[in-house]
Amino acid sequence: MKLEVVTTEETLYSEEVDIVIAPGAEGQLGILPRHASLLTAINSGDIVVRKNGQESTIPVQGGFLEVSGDQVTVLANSS
Amino acid sequence: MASVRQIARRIRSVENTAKITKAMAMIAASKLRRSQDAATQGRSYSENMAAMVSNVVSQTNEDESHQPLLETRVVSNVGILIVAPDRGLTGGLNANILRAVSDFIDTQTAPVKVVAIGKKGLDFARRNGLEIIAEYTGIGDRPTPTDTLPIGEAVINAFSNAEVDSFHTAYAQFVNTTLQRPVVQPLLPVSPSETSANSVGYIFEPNAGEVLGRLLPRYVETLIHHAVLEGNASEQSARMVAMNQATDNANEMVDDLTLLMNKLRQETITTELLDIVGGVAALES
Repeated sequence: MKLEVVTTEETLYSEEVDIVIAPGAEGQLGILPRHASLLTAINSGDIVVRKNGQESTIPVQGGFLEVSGDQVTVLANSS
Repeated sequence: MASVRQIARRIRSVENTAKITKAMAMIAASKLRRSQDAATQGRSYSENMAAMVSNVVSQTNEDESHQPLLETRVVSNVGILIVAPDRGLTGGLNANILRAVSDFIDTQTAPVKVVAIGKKGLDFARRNGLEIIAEYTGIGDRPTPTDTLPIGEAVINAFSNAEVDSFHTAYAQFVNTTLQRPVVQPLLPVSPSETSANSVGYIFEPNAGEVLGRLLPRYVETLIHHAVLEGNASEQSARMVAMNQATDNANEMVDDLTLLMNKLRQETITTELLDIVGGVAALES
């Protein structure tokens, strides 16, 4: 599953990941591979990514998250 | 005929001009790299955003969620957002943008109202007696989304208040350093591209209407921000090319003048020599 986090200014993150946990508009949501197509607004907070047991966070100031096929795209307002 | 000294002064002055234009070209070149990066970096965001919008729109039916920004109305007032530089010395760029705008205005039957970004666009609107909804000058060379946010809000407000019934953006698309294409593109009502083939059932959270309601203004702001970035890159590259050209012309002029000055100097010496030789010959005889 590939995660891409982009802002108007730059691409913050673009890597293969195991799980994405994002602050969705309706509460925290975890996305695993083979997730159904989804489009949601996200709130300000941290996007947590796990990759080979390693965890990292990407702070975002709200935006949108789209899951389509094996691709997760986050359009962040800014960081 | 100018004297040797006058020509020498002229050469110095042209040399100074060449120094200035060369410095301007170098400044523009260094700014260009940054503006170009900003414009290309921003492209990925706006492309993703456009794809999202068309995905959502293709899956929501009109009645389910009424979106004012998608609504096509009878056009009784046309709005145009002119993105032009604040300053001149950009070769033909400013004239080209403004010509594209006035061609657009000529094709409109409804009265045109303007939102101007940049002094050149504002001057154009004033000169042609167009109604100005809002004006933004002095945005600078490194516009951030925060700088362009109020523009987006003003445009969306004008559209939702029915002050205007459609909106277009006019800006110079940055193709490469030597080519900037002035374009006039529709902005509002939002017309998503029909290219998205993956209209598989999306899940929307909280719901499609809500997502769209938040996505659309953001999309409009992104388009505007992108136009400003492109315009900026175009401005810098046009200025760089124009100033390089000016430097070349100035140097060529210095060469011509130097040649002229040398000829003139030699002529003077020859005349003086002839005088002396003539004088000596007259004394001897």
